Amino acid sequence: MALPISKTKALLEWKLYLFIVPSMVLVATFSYYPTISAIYHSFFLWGGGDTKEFVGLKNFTDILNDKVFWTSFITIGILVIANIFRMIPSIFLAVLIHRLKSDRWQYWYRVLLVVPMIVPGLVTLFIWKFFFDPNLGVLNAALDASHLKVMLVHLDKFFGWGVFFEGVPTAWLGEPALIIPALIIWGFPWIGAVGVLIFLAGLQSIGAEIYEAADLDGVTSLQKFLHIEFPLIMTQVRLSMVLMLIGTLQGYGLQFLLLGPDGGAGGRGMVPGLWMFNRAFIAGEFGYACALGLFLFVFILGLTWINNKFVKVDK
Amino acid sequence: MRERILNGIGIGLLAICFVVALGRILWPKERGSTGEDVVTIRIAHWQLETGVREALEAMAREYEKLHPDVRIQQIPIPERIYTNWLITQLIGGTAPDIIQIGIGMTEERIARFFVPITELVEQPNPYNKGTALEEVPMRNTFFDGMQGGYQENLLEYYSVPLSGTSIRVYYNLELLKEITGSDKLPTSYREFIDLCKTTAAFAKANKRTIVPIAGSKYNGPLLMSALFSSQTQKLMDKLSPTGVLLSDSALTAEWFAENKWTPNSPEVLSGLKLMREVSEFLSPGFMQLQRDDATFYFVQGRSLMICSGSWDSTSIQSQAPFAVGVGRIPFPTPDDPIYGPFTKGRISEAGTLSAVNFGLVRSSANPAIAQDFLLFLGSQPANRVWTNVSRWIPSVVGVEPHPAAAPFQPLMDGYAPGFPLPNQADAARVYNTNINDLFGPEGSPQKFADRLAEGLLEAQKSDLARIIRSTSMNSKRRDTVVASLAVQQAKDPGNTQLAEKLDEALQSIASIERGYYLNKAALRATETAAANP
Repeated sequence: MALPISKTKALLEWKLYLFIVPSMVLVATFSYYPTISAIYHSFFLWGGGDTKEFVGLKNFTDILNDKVFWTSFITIGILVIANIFRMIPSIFLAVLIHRLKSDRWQYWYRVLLVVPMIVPGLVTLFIWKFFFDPNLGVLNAALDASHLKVMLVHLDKFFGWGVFFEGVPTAWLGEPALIIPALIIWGFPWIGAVGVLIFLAGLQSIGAEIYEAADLDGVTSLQKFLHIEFPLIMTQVRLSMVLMLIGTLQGYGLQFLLLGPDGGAGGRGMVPGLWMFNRAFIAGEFGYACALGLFLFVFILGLTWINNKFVKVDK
Repeated sequence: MRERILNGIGIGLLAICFVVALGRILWPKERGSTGEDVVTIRIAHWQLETGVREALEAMAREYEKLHPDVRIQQIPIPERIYTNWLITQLIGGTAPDIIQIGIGMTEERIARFFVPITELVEQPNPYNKGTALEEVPMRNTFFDGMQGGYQENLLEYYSVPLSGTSIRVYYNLELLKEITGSDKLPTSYREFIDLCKTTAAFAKANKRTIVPIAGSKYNGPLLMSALFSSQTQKLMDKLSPTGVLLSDSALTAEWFAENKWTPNSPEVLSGLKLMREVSEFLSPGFMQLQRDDATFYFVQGRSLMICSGSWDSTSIQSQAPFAVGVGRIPFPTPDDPIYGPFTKGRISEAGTLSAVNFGLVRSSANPAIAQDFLLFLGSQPANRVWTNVSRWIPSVVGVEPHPAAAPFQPLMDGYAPGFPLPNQADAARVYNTNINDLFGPEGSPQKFADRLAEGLLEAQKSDLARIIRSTSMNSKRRDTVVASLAVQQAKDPGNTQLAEKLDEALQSIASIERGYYLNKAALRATETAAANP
């Protein structure tokens, strides 16, 4: 932390402040200007051109009656809950790597985790889109080969889902009832390299003496995880949760790429970010989209505050 | 010491990368740049189909031969991101000199960012010198009178079109012969459906993974919306006492609000039934597939047919390892036992407009040169290069299409199409998000019609309100111009050029206001209908 200096000294050394000017100019231009512009335009009926009409709070009151926007929160709620569970494999893998006795192998596993990060996210999404292809996709092929499809057809008949039929390839992204499952299945086995590395960093900060004491007390592997490792990486878990929450609420790239700007069949894949995009670039309502963006910002801020306040870290 | 050396190498590498990157930004490498006097004109488009980039390159090289001090740089942008890219470039003032107009373009954006070329197209094109079109005003040198480049509400020409377009059904001739023993293409809707059934039976009997028609959310609707509009032909005649031949979204919305047609009208239900019938022969789950997926299916020999535009011809022909046949969309005829009662007959392509329109951007650093290149693009010699290299249909009169493009020439016989299902932003969303109720394994025309009946009115209301707002803003923009011209004319009453400009501006406002009041009437009817369900 910087030490406080006197006002006289600060004024005397004013030239030093010039060093942060370039950074501040870039931040102001690329971060603050668009944000301020979005706030300003959220009070206008604006189609992205030079003509706009001031409408006060109309865009914000319209949000209150926007059924699609509010319904999209149900989808995003499901995805957030699913994403919390999707963090488990990363924690599990981090613990496994951490418990490797050989430092060299630990290193190589970390490298192996980082290597796939070179592949652009968009490519990964396209690969997954191909997995979901009803006729050539890996998912349907695997279900057919393992005869799981037969079981699903029987279950469908019993429960009346109306999505799995004998002899008809399953349209994972074309059936409203399958869209959310498809969005959850995406990325299986859900091991995020960044997440694993964050958890691993947390695990490595646990002192060897704690493990030694646990060993002396005859603590099992599972008990070690539940009573030592997991509580001690809660800071990292909380950080990952905040990042995940922000990413899930803001993100729409996955839904846009897999399902299109309308959120797919039945609009089931519609999320707030995609609705914002839809209003701006499909309907041409840029002013309203700015208002939606601001609303989302406040919502995410609130959730982050709640997360920080109530997800306690007891060391 | 070792650490210091390594740090030095690291910083050195970083510095080199930075300098190279900076250099690439500040002094972009231009093909064949020979000196400071060379002007670069940038032209952007979304046509990534086989042949187009090559054709534009060939046309650019021809132009550069005539003007050694000019370099033409082509910027192809994928269709998926074209709108976002376009808006960002235009608003940011960094747009190329010439841009393809179409996707993501509103009248407001055209008026704001593009230069009207009306005066230019009233004159003969200098690049037609030595041809039969030498004395002909440029706009009359296009097969459609350059209507494809005309903005009706702005009353100005804004772009130069390069090509004509049409929708066709492509056939795998080898597979067709294997299935039917003949390479004869179906000529009527009944023959077409019979062929689909035969193909499905053939695939099942031989355990082959073949579907009759390769489908995607792009290709499927191309075929089905054309077939749908055959069922609303007579209905449109009935609803339009003034004999409007081409469908108008405001009128269709007003008729819908006034209950003159509903999703449950027999004509509309028949159109939906037709769509459902055809969908059963498309690739399963086609609404989740993309255009490339469908093309892939077809060229891999996994389907007998694919429906697409003339613009996909070169891509398909160049990728398919088999002979490709091309046929017209087989519309139901009036004697068809099921779909005959609502149709007048096959739909004519006489109303097809020229396409692949390029407009001149206002922020161009070299507007005179860019405009000159645009004139060149619209000339007969350049259009000949266009069709010969791209194998797309030519747009200029007197240019013989490349033999491969001949089957795509618009066919004039037939009748005007009926109205399509509403396709503005929110109406399209209601359509797209419920379409599985029509095509899905448990879907039906009635189920889909019920969904449309639930959501269409509200969607139309918000679409119409949006159009009215945009039209009103456009009109306000024009008011300033009219006021300014009127003041100038009052000061200089003898200036005929000024009088003409004022007249044009007033006509433009009148046209915008016509659209405004048509949409306003439709919105009023929609609001009344929504208030009295």
